[in-house]
Amino acid sequence: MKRQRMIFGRYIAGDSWMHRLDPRAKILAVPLFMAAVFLVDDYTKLLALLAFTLLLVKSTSISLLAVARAVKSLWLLLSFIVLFHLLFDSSGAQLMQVGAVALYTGGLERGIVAALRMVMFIVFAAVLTFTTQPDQLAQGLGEVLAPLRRLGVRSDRLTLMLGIALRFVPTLFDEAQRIWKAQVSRGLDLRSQPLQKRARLLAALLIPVTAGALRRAVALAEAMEARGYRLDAPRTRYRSLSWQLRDSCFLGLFVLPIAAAAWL
Amino acid sequence: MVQKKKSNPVIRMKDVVCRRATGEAPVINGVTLTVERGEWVCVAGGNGSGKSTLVRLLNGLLLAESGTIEIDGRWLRADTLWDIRQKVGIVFPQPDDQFVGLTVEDDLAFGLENQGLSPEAIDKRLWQIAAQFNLTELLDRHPGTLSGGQKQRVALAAVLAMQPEILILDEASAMLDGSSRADLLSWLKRTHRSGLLTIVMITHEIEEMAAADRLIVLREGCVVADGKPGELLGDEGLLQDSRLEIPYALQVCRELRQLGVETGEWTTEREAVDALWALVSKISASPIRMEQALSV
Repeated sequence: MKRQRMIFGRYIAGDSWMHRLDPRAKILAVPLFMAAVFLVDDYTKLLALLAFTLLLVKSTSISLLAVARAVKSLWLLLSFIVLFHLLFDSSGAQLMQVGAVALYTGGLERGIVAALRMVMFIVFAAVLTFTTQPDQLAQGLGEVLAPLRRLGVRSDRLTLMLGIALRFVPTLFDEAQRIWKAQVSRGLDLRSQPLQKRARLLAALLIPVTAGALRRAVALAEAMEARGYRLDAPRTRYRSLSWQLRDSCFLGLFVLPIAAAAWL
Repeated sequence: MVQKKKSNPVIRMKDVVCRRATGEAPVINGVTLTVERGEWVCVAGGNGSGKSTLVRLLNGLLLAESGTIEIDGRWLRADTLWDIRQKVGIVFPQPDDQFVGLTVEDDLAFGLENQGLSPEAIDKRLWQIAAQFNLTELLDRHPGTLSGGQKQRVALAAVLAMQPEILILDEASAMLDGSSRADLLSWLKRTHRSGLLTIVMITHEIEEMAAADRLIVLREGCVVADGKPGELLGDEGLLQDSRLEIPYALQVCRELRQLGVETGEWTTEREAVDALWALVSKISASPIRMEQALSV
């Protein structure tokens, strides 16, 4: 089961309306959502936006617990954001004095607002990845960036690179584990080593994993060429994306919070 | 009067030389050979004899320094390379390093997308090949979750979905267990009987060599033997000089002959066991003494 989770990344299979959306709609919603989050700067509006985001989660088959786990995995970053504002923002009334450092209410407020914004990004990114298959995400991103081809951006290459990277994550992870176990079986014990030596010993893992990844890359390139792949040559797509009315409605849904944030 | 079968070569190599890098000794050194349409050819040789280089030349993954290669009547050159790759499919030893798609379905579609087929045509061909190789249940699986045998079946199906005329198997059974290897061999035999596919196969497996129409032995980039597998696999001198193993079954048959038991010369274990079984049945059916039977 753990292996399955690793392999499919964070995608959770389901048949909710979010699952059925065109991946392009979900990708395009990201900048709209970010705009809304940055436009609001007080608690009430932010909490309203958070409620909107959680409602989105609730309307899918994804459990709030899975989303909470995604947020929890980044608690260190969230704590750092709050601490950073607390230490370097001296607006508002003084809250307390800890040794030579004075903490202010303005710093605390801004820290919480910034952390709340981050929480919303995490929740939104989690919903996006929970409800979209990695290959669809890669294809969607490639198609969203397709107009940039005129500016020389090779979106088709990007799609393929993303797909291959996603394909090889579990393979390389397995390989790293295998090499690690082989090193441990030959007596490598990181815990008993000082930090500096630990870093050096980690090279014993990184070097063979990198060498293995390069060897696989060469073999894969050969196999792709043998199967008729040519860089930048036209090729058809087996899975085509189709934009429906529901996708337009979904994007429209994000215009509402932006408008509310801007004018209220 | 026996009419000689008309020659219909699909691969022609003439004086082909190939080096890995300028200044290095050639890996393929003046190879000339012809493969007939529908033929099943095994290529054998020790490590570094040039087997993998030889088959990579046929698909244009490597280009010859000198000499000519003709595939299905067309010279293999930079401008014909991509058309020729449609005709020559190659399956590599490590299936893990050939998967491009995140699912089996996407991987089967990859080559067909490169061929420019419409989504409908891809869908049709993909389901046909998946049914043929018992992959329909696995279509939505990530390649990393498959067993070794399933992975190699996907790799083979992905190449065959492109409907090549020549199938190259570069030690494609090396990573398989005994049962999967037997499945591959029986599929190869069936496919060969249909006569639709020319098979060029690098292998170290005696059973696979023995099943082919022809065996080519390479040594230091040169063809040192080219003939019927049954004849070449019995040539101890040739096998030893080419760093190949003498078939175990043949060793047993020869040892038995020295003991006075004549079973004939067989290269595969199955054939040798069949011959021994026939001999044992003959002895048990006969009232004569064992020593007498063995000296027959």
